[in-house]
Amino acid sequence: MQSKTQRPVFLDLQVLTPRLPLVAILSILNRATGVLMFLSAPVLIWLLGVSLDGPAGFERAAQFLDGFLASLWLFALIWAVAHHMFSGIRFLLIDIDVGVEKEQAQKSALWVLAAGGAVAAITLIGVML
Amino acid sequence: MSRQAAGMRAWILQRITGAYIALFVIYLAVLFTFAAPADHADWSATVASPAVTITAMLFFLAVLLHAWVGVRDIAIDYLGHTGLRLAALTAVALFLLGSGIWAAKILLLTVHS
Repeated sequence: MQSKTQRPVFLDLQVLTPRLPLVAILSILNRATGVLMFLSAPVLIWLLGVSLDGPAGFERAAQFLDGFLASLWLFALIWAVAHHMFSGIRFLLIDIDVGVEKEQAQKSALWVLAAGGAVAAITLIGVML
Repeated sequence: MSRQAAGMRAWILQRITGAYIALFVIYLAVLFTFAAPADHADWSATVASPAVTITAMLFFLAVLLHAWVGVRDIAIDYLGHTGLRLAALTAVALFLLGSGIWAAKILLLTVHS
């Protein structure tokens, strides 16, 4: 009976840190926004082609972008581009040893999130004005 | 560069293309915010100007390379099965090459019209 209690006990300490660290979220978001842009490429190239294909095509492209779903997509895409760019600048800085420390990396991750969000907010305000 | 340094090459390529893409995207953002093309004539004149055609060509090439390195990294991380990864990356390569050729064709047609 006594020996049983002396066996190693597994403590699931992972439950103490259930939250995904901010820097991990940022890394995932960088990939997610990248994939969104990758998948959006054919639509963007199609829009470029149609908009350049005569005055009627230009109107067609403008009309497409006025649609509700297309507007949502474009809004998400603008956020994705902005976020990915700020995120990329952060990675570049980390590459040259700027902001590698945990605290700084967390702080810069917040700045990237905020900057991407700010671009999205400005876009939204600009569209509504 | 040696085969051993292929990862380093991809890493540098990712950064150089990223910087170029960022500059071109900022140009696009300024263009569409402050001088959005009003009609087809305005828009096609902008795209057909040599500076824009050439920098846009380089932009598409940069995006193609940047996307390839990025998607390849993701495939290496999540697709463990070699055959599956090879198939996925082949599809990605065809997708990117097709997109690049399509975009180049559009730009060249605009210059010639």
